[in-house]
Amino acid sequence: MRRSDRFVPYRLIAPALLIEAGLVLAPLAIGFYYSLHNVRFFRNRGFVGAGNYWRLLESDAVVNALIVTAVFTVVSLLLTFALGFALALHLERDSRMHVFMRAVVLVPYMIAMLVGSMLLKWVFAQESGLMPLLLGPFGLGESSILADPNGAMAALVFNAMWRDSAFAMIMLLAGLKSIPMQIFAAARVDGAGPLYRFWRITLPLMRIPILITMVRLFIHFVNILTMPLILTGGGPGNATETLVLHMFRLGFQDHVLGTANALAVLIFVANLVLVALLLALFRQNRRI
Amino acid sequence: MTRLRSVLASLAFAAVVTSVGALVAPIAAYAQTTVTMWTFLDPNRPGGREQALKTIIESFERQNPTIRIRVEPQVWTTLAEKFVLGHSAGNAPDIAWVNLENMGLILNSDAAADLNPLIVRNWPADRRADLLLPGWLDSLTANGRLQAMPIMASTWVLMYRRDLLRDAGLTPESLRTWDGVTEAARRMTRRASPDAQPQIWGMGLGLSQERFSATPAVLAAIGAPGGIFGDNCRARLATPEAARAVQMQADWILRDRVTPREALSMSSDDAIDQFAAGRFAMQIIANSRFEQIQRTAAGWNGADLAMAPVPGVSADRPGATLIVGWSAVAWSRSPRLQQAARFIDYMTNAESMALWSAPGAQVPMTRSVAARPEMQTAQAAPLREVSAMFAASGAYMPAACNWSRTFADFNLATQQVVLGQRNVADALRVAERATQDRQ
Repeated sequence: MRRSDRFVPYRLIAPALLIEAGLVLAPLAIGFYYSLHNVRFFRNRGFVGAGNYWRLLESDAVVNALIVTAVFTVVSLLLTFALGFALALHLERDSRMHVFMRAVVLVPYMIAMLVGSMLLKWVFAQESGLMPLLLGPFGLGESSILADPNGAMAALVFNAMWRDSAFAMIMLLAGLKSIPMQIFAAARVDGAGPLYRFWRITLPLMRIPILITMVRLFIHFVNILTMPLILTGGGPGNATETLVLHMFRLGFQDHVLGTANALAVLIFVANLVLVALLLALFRQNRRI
Repeated sequence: MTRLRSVLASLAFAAVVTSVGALVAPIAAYAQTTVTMWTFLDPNRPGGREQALKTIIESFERQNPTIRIRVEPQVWTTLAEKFVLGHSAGNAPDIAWVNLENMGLILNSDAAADLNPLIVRNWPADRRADLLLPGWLDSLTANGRLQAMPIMASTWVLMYRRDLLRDAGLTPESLRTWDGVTEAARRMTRRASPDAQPQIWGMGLGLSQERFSATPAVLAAIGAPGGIFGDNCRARLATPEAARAVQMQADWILRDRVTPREALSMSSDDAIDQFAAGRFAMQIIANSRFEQIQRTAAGWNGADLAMAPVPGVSADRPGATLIVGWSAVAWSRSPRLQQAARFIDYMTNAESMALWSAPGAQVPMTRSVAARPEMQTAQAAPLREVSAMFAASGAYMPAACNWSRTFADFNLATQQVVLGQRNVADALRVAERATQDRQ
């Protein structure tokens, strides 16, 4: 190998590394730096060490946001994944009707998240929405979904499910399509029923698409801002104020940027730990 | 021959004139200064305020041929933040408009120039006396430095439907106190049967923590002696007056049933939409929305819309008319500071103030404008009413304090009381701590 050739790989990855450093590492470093300072009204008022972190860990609002985020993420992840998988299995065949239905299912995902959340807000609104009409026959016409803490959380989960199950469906459909049909045919000849084929063939061969879908949805739900901001405003009584919404308020509305950066760093670390945990869970079975 | 000579002479003269012109033009252009201004208004769009700004700029440029004003319209919600960030980066505009809610950003940075030596010190004696709201200048002064010049003011008023008030057998006099408003709301609420959901609710509220606005609780607390901020911006939200006000809002939902529970999730805009749609009989709304609500009234006659001052705790003491609005700030590091200050001064002189009121449809901020014939018309009556409220009970928030989300803190307190999560005292202590943490 010529001396100049040895540097070719470095030269090739250098642009990507520079972009990564400029757009990810530098903001992370700056964010961490500000998290150790008292930054208010865009002015750095001095070093406070871990003060911002202690303040967050002692805050009732942060503890509440943590619980809200956990509940929202776990419930949304499970329901969205289950619905997405069910849709993928149901719409796997390429008949004209199934292709049409796939397009229909994709519509919520193609609508901008902000617009979708606003639409649902109008649907759920008791005074002007559709819900009183739909729930009226069951004697629930006067119940106010968004003004009730549990109702608001359910609405938020519904928003996530309504929009993101389409994403789960696409990812899982791609995985289903990659399974050779001969395996199913052979199993059928051997007398395997649909449930047996699902547990013994489909699920094991779908581990990687399932992992990718779960990790992607998980990161998305933990870091979601638009849905709680638009649909519920974090309320009522902070019942739907997620960690990211709390961080957004600290940074962009309260102008307490030191504390907001500290929370951003904590959320980032939590993301890394949780994704690593999820990967470890999948690796435990030595399937990947 | 003579003709040829004269033609050649004319051509030579034209060539000389063109050459001189070509040489002089760049020098003239070079001598011209361009002042950049960030505002939420776009002078090239239709609208009263936009046309007022356009006329002011044209008139200023005529009188100051060496100065050009370049307007860069901005989204109003992030204008102040962008200005302070631009200042930190060294590329802020020469002038920026800042709303009072975000003035803390300006007063807590060194982004704004002191307008006292640049503008106010040169005023003739009668100009300050002409101001209807001289207190506004004081509220924008920190450490003796005037950091912004008020341009247009607005406030919150109690809007109500005259037809419903009349049908309930009441007069506007009944709306002078909060107790009176509660009783009026009871009588104006319309139900098909005692247990049925009302078709018209007596009192509208928007209690969401997003896209919030002033509510009765906020205004009652601000109107209490000492307001909601003490010395050095120490938050004082957990006061007996604030507790009574938050309890009153919770009672409207739980006990009196004159406000829908849905109010907990309604933004200010949602509630205003409901008011315009005829679902609410009364509501605290910014006076600037008056014309829009009249225009969009559905199912009722917009001419029945009326406004009253913010009620007080007792009839002899009106509630706070909280003055907010837009002011112009000159960038402290602007290389064109003198020219920027000159335009700010021009934008707020008597002629410009008249334009802001007509065609701008803004509340007059000077006595001379309030006395002009165009302000005496029936169309200008709402502006006159608000002007009178300013004079009677105008109140200012301390501009240096961070109250950007204090209204939302009050909303959260009311939500928690309605949901039974906290009692009023605890909810207000949480709100007080949240506001204090931002200072």
